[in-house]
Amino acid sequence: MTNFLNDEKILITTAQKGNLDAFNGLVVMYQDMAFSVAYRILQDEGTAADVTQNAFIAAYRKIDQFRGDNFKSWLMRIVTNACYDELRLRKRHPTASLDDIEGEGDGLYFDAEDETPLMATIEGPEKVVERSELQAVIEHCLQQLNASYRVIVVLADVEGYSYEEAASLSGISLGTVKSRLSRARSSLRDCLRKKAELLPDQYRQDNS
Amino acid sequence: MSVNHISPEDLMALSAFLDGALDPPERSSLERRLATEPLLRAELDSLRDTVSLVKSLPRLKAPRDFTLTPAMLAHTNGGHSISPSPKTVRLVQFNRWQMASLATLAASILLVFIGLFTGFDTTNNKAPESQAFVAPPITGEVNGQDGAAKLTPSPALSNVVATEGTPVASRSTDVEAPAMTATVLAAQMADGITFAGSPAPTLMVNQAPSNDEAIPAPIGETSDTQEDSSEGAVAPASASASNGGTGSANGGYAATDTSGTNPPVLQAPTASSTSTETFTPQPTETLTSTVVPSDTPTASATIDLVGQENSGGNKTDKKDQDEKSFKVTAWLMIGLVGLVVSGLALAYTWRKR
Repeated sequence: MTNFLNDEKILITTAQKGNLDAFNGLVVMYQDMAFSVAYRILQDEGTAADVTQNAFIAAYRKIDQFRGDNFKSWLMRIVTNACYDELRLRKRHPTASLDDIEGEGDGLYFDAEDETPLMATIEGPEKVVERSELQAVIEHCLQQLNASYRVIVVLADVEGYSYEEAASLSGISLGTVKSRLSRARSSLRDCLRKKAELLPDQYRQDNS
Repeated sequence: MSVNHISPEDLMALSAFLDGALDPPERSSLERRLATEPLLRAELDSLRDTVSLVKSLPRLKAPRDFTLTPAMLAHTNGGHSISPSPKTVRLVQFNRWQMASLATLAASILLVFIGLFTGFDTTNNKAPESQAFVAPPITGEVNGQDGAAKLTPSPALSNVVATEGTPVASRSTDVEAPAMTATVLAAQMADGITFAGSPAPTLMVNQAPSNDEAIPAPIGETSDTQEDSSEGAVAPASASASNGGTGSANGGYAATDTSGTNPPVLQAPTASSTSTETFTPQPTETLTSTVVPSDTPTASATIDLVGQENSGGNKTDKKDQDEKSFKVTAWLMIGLVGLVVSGLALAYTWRKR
């Protein structure tokens, strides 16, 4: 662990001197995390990949501004901001499926009854097989959430950030984080229950 | 399915309770309620299960490698190329920052001096034709150019000066031109010419074939640094054209020259200020480009002067008297603005360092 942190520090310092290889070392370290977050927020692999790539480019350009010791958070903020930009763009230029970013009123689900194919939400043959079904259901329910709620769930629950960190990363107030998270969890719970028949026994026991 | 009768406040409290984010008083109060309210407890349990399920989601694997390539950086940045060896680039960039600021500063000082000299000369000799009197300005200009050359060594400049061996008279004419220059300047600025370097090449081609060797250098540099090298090339053409027009209209005054000299100075500040404020990350490149232009313009200016003399010859001084004050003010203003901007740029550079 210490080695890892030391390595990261060295990579950062070197990258700050303009060394692209060092920065790419950081990219390799964090690209799964960045893509994961982007994908789960945006729910589209192609867009998530583009956003991730652009976020890394942006990070490289301003890495000399990075101060402190929490590079992961710093990077995550860039990724989250890039996701927000993408969401705003979608909102401005609605295409196929659009969710309301601001999630006013009860817009917790952006289209509750819209059935998207469950298995389509997880791609990649290398996914863990035995959990893929359950995962698919969870991803599906995540997808049903309004983006502004989904962001918080992804940050706080999937990625495990604290309320404060999630608030800072998403640029919303602590109180809003709390309320959105609670409502999102409640909605997820309802969605999961709805899909319970698709799930293995284990989950039904868990949840009943 | 099960309609929950839990209020949003309770829901929030439960959710925060799960994360251990409740204040001690809130927490103990909720715990008391949980002990007596099965519904509330059931809600808590289901939420806890949900959260643990969501937390069980694995981290996804990136579908591809997101490592950056220089080409990628160049592309996304809209053409700002980054050379393969970032370390070197950074060093160069830093130098260019400073050089750009210094060059701008020098150019601004030069402008102010020109403005002062011009004012002085004009007051003494109303007629620009009396070139002999005008001689002092020349010296000022030459010195200024030398200074610029020191900052950013431009072979073209020295070549041009030497080759052209322009009569003093012509030079003085050039110096006098400021008024015209102001107009030309305005026009150029309106065109939004970012690349001072470009005009120079064009002019050089027209005027002095001997300078052709010098041309490649500026062009190459410009295109390297600038994203819109092509646009730059186009812009210059128009600029030069306008210059020529102005020059001829004015009777071969150094107007063209002025335009040549001025744009760089003005442009430099503009570029530097913009980069400073907006893009902190990649300002260097913008500035870099600025530096190059500053060199080239000087050269072009010289050339222009020569060309002007040849083609235009001497003009009448009818308007000159009226214009002189305006000229002086314009030069001074431009110079002062340049001073301020370049000073800010310098300060920024140093602080950043």
